[in-house]
Amino acid sequence: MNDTNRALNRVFIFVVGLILLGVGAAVAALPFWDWWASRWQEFGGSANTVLTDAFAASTMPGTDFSWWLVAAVAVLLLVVIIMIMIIASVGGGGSREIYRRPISKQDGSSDNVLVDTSFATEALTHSLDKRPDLVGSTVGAFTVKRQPVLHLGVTPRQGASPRLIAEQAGILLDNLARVVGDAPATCLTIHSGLRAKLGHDQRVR
Amino acid sequence: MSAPYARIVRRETHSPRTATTILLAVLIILACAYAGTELILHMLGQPALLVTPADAWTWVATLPTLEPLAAISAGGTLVAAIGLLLILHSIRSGRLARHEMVLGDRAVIVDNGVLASAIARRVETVARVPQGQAAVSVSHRRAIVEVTPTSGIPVDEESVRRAVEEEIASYDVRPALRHTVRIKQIGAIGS
Repeated sequence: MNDTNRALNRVFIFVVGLILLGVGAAVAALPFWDWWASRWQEFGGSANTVLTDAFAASTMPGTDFSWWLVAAVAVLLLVVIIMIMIIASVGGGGSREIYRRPISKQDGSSDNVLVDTSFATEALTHSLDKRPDLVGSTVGAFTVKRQPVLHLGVTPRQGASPRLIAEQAGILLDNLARVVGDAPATCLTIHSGLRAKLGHDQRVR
Repeated sequence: MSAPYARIVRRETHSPRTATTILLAVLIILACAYAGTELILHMLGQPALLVTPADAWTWVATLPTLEPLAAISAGGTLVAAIGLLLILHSIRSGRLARHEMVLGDRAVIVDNGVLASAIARRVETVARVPQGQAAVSVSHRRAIVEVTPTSGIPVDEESVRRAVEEEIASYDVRPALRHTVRIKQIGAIGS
């Protein structure tokens, strides 16, 4: 539920896929399509001449290499920077507070009442850790459409009823809302996973 | 309070494609770093790590004349196939194995595995078989329950069916689950 720009992810994957598909298809067609193979060689040859001329015409003073090589390195560097920006843009959107409300003071100025996410984390995990039908729980908060959303993830043991767990987690969240004064928007996820499978069974047999 | 639940549920039940994005970005960074290193080594007049830029260029330009042609074609096909898979990966919905559970005004997302193991537990209790003799798989719209009776002790199919129905109805998940119950003809021994 973080702020990852999923459309950007998909566009990026699509563009990379398209480039690979184009290059791959162009290479794969070489042995079967003589016209295409001769075009390829022709273009390779003429490009070679152009490049050699360009390199010779643009030699950096005092060295024996061309400005174009420096430009090529700069382009590669730019691509690397863009890739790093894409990686860095993933994630984020966490919220440090689950509740914020302005209060007006007697002198007319106003302040904010904040409830920190860690308060909810402490309160909820403290209650959930005692439950025998859960093997783990995580609490976090995100900002979705400028609104803090509390995220509670629980991993029940094998065979536990998700309905029951959701209802009982709902009671805890109601209690939290009573303490805080207002119910934060909440998302509850119930996970399966290795921990649930490996956690020992509590059923009386 | 109007919570953006539609958005939350959508984001929690679909893959963000983040892993692929990061993998591709890292591979591109590595490729650029390598190419840049070769270029700089060339500019400094140092020996190349693997291949000089000029040799690499010549190799690409004369690709159609190189042997074996089959290998070149196969390589191209492989690259094209990877590209096609990436395009499909970027277009497909990336739905995760999860269901939305309707519970008051909260967004509740349940992994299919949790639903399956809860149904299995209920079926084992109703059918009076030991743990592990009810196999349940839950997909997007269907739950398939397969009960292995203990040899010599018949299982009442009707009651199992009713239990599964009740259990699924109590979850009230979106999209709704249909179910299939199968009782195996061959029982398990000694459990």
